[in-house]
Amino acid sequence: MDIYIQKNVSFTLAGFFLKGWNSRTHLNIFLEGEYSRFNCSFCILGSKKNIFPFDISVIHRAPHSVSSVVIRSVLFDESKVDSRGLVRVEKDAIDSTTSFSHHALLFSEKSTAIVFPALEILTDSVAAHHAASVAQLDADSLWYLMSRGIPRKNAELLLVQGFFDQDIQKIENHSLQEIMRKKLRASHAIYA
Amino acid sequence: MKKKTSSKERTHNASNAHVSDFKTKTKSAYEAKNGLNQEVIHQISEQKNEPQWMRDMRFRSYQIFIEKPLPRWGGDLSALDFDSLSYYVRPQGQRETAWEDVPKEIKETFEKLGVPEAERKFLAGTGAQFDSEVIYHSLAESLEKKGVIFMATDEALQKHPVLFKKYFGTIIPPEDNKFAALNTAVWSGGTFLYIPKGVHVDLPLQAYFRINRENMGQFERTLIIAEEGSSVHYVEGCTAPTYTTNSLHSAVVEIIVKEGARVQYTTVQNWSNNVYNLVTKRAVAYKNAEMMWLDCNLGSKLTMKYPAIYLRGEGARGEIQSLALSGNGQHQDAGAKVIHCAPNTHSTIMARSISKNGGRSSYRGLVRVLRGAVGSTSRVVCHALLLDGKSISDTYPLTDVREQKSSIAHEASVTKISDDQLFYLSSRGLSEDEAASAIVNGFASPIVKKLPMEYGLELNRLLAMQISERKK
Amino acid sequence: MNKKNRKRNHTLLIKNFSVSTNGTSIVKDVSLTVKSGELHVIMGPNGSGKSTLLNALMGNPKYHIQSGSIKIDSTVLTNLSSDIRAKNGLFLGFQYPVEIPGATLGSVLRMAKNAIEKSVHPQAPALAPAEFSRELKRILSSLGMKEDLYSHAMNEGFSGGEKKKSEIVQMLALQPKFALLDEIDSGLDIDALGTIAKAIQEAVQVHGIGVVLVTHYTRILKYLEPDRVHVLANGKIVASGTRVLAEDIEVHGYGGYVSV
Repeated sequence: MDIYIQKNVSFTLAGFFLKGWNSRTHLNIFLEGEYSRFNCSFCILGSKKNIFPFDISVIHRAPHSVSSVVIRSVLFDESKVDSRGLVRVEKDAIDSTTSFSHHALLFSEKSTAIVFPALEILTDSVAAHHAASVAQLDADSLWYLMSRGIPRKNAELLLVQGFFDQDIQKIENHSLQEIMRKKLRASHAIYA
Repeated sequence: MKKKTSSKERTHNASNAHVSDFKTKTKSAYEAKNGLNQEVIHQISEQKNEPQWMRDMRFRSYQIFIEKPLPRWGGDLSALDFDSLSYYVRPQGQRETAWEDVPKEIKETFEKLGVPEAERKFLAGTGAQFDSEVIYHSLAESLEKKGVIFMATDEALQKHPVLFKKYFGTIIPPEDNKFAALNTAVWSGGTFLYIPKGVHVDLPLQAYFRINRENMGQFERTLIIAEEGSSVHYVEGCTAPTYTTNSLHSAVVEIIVKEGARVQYTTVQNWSNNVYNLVTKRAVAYKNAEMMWLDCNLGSKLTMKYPAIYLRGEGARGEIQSLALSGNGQHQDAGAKVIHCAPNTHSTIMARSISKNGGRSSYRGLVRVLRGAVGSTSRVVCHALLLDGKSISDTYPLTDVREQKSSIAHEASVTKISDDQLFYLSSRGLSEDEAASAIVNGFASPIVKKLPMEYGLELNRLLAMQISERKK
Repeated sequence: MNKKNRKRNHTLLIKNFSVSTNGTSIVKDVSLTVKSGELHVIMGPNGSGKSTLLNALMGNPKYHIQSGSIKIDSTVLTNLSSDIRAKNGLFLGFQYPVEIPGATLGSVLRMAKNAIEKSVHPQAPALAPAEFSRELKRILSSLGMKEDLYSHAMNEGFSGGEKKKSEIVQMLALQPKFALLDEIDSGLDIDALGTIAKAIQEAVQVHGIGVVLVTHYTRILKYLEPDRVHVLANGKIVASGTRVLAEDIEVHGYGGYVSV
């Protein structure tokens, strides 16, 4: 899928993914107009043997363009996320800002995360940052909640919700935030 | 036939393991023809009086080289013409550049950096040998007493055949990639370093001590073996620009760090702008071993180099510090690779790059955590500094984690020298160049301060000089 | 750098100084004369142009000088770059000191001091590092700062108060003829305020540095003895007087000074 964003237009994309898919999907965003903005927030909740292979590329072609991509994946059972991201800021896209992050939480022994946030910067007038991490649930946090009497499964649920919420709360559109949280709550059957 | 070295000669200090002595063992001059074919490989092996197994390995590698395609990623190798290169030139027959033909910028840099006269001629490839014999003499004695073997790779093959064969090509087999295959087919020169159990070599060992043309050869092959509990720091290269007419430098470095041992390998390269610098470097670290690569890439037209560490034993630690400087017409495609194969292994990668005048710096990295590498952690931090709007920075960091009980983090940022920083320093009285220098040196400092001091000082001076010329 | 009572005799002359940024006029026709050993305080409501004035005097490239001039003694600084102004004896204490990662306070200041000295005395040898480090460390501790900040990256990880103190440390190390201090008092606790004010007073009375201190609040004036107090509103100096002026502002606010 290719999306072209024009001058002064702000485009927000939020996605919540439960079922995986087999062939690699590509999302290509082109910031073509000055002051164009792209915000993307993806939550991936993997279970069973679902896989999530996808590429996101964000190409800044115009000055003063802004992009922010945040992806959070929580992977149970034997699920796998295989994501490749590319943010490219071209020579003419002066004074642009970009950030890209993908944080993954491996919940079971057989889950896998492959994250590859690439960055190509062709102009010096840019503020570019990206981050990625793969880890498991923080044992101290889990213990803390359980020591307050919360059963393990519920504690894990709270922490997973908290993990996703770190980026959900940054979505500017409040109704979109609510939709994401609702979907998250509805899918907690996965944790059972 | 081969002139056998008497045991008396061997126990005489290793300083005799100098080109001058070694030269006399090889046959009469072989005319270097361009291009690579079986005949050239045959001659290389003949000249060196190698055992059959090595000759066979060379031929086998040559086959692999022909069949393997060029990598489709990385820098632009389209202009590399294998047929026009010469693959083996004997030390005596080494083509020497006349001082007049050495590029003006190189000479000016020597002047600005204050490189001693004798060194200048050597670095420029005009043939004068740097007289390191005096320094080397006493170092060689103390090393020998400890059982340390430190000699040219060619020589080690002759003098320590069993040890050599045990490890050669085990870390980087010729099948690994096209350039490893090429190197295995035509390698010549390089360093063989063996540290026995429990021995600690306190002083950084520098390739400088054994300076001879073969060290700066195109196809060096270096092999370092650190036995249990030993430690050593090996340093190669220099900050001053190194001029060569050889346009391909394709080296291979294999390092084995056994249980509890520690190896640091520091490289500072500043090849002239006509050189393709394609190097395969890999270390294997066993239980509780520590391996550190400190890699500074300042020169060459294109460098493709990704020092790798395979953390094979429990508790092994790996660290890779990479500094890249790219100027006009240059592409530093450097990075790091760490594979966590065992539990409780830890790695740190820090890469900093500076691009100016249209130069391009790319970080290409891989952190892979295999299932079973429980309790492993890895942290990767990449910072790129762009000095102008023409320069380019790329970051390609791949994180592949298949072990739940591990923690991997990566972050990268790309910035330029901020106007606020420039104004602030300028208001303290620093000129624009001095301010930019302070900022760039400050940016590089976390890595530079890990270099042996004289390299660090030289590097700071080189960066300052590059800054003042950044608009050119 | 010694603590003897310095008899300096310089003049900072700002005449009809007007500054704009992005096409908007911010400072309008400001004139001010400051002599060595004088402390001038400029007060004003937010947005009056105080910070712009000081930044433009120092030559911040963000600001455009529409008209007017700035001179130290007979040297015209108006179109010169910031480092040349520094070499001529001007110093700016930033409101938001900038972090320079990896570049230590000691090394940057030594470079600056050498650059400034060399422009005055071209034959002067470079500063001996050991002596310079001793002196800088002495200044650091006189302001209650840890000596090891000498080897610390400039301003990196410093608290707000430490950043402001760092500006004063730098001023004392470089010994300018004139120091422009941009809201040096903002964000400071009582103790830090007292320490900094004492250092400023000493700089003026003992070292003979001419200081132009810009502030929004009257708090710091409890610790200082200004020679002149000016009020800047809408980019213009609307009142000048003694500390009585400040006392009036403390009671009545800026209302009476901000016209149309």
